Amino acid sequence: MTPRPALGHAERTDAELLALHVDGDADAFGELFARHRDRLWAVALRTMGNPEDAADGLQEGMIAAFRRAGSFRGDAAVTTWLHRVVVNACLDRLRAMKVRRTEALPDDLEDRADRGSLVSSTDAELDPAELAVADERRRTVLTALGTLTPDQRAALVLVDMEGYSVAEAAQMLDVAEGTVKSRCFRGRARLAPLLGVLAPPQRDVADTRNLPPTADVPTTGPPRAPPPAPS
Amino acid sequence: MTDPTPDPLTPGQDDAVRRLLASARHSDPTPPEVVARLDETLASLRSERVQAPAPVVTLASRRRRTAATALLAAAAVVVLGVGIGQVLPSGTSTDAGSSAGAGDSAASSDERPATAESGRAFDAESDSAADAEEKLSDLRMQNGRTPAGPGALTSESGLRSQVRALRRASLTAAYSSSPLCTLADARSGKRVPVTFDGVPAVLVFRAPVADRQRVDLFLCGEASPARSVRLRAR
Repeated sequence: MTPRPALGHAERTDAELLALHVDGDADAFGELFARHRDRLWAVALRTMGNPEDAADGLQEGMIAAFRRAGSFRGDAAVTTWLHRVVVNACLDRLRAMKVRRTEALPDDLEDRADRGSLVSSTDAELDPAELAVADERRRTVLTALGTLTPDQRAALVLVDMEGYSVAEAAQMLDVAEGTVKSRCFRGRARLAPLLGVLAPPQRDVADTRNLPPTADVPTTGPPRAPPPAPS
Repeated sequence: MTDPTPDPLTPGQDDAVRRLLASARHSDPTPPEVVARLDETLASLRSERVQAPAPVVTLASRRRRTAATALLAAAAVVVLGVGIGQVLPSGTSTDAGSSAGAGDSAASSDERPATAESGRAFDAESDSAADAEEKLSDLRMQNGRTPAGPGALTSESGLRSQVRALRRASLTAAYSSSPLCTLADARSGKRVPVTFDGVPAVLVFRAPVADRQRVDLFLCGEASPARSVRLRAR
């Protein structure tokens, strides 16, 4: 039987990397965190509302995960555990700041504009007018998101933005599934008026034709004759 | 402050909000400056780890250790209930201590580690130093840093105040020697089984000399005391 070649870190599973880290491997945690960094960054950014605080939250979460890796019990996926640590670090930061952010959140819009990607990978197909509309819509959503409580915001970020299931979000937030549902329900209900969802439906934007002619306004007085010619 | 229950959304409205949220998802990679900062932090964590490799204590092992310590402490307290009564010096009443004027705060020495070389000698310290240590120990005890049971002694707090607390318990019963703990020191004294930092031990209360009483702490099986303190005799 030929000896099995040692696996590099890139071929290891998340759980293996975490176990290696706990056993003292110097590089395993870096590989593990790098795998999930972008998504953790997205969650931190949307939860904190601005890149500076998001970077702080992500950094604190990473430090906590590095140091508490030994407490991982394996009853959830490693990525779920990482999200939990980072989200908790962000929420702790928000609570410590004791500030409910009502100012505009989408600080990253300017950064994105510099890089030519404004909304999504399909943006390239949009014309400048559509990009502007999408930009404005995103700004409106993020501003409205900033009015929610941190707990509601975190639930909506995980479920509606990042697409995690309620069960996964419950594990990440370390609360019951019913609590996540309740936070999402309340959060969406608070966002709806701010996003214009409750407004009456408007005409289709594409329908730019003139309105159909309406009936003549009926006259109510007696018919008037032309003024008499001067004599 | 509770959030008032908002009006429920229709399914269509709910979907619309969810779509809008999904459209605002952040899909760009982590900015390079943030990545650099994280890498720097990670390097610092790695170097910390190399410089001070802390043993990883799993929760399970920690629970086991805590349970074992608690069990040992509980056992010591039970035995203590039997033996503490013999601690009080015979011929002195419990009222004597309270009528001694300055009380224990006037005791002139504090605990001191005893080694085989130093024998039974312990240096006298100033009253103020002893008082300061005593107050500090009391404060620690108030802060809950001492074990729950009076027979579970710890090196984290002043031993003198812990021994005094034991003596104050004034329980009356005879000490029965534990087969787990034998003492090479054959000198006389009232013996009280305790634990010291979770290790089985025995406190030996020597006969009072003048107004002082010496108390030696022996770890089980050890020939010389690990600690010695001197208290005002009661």
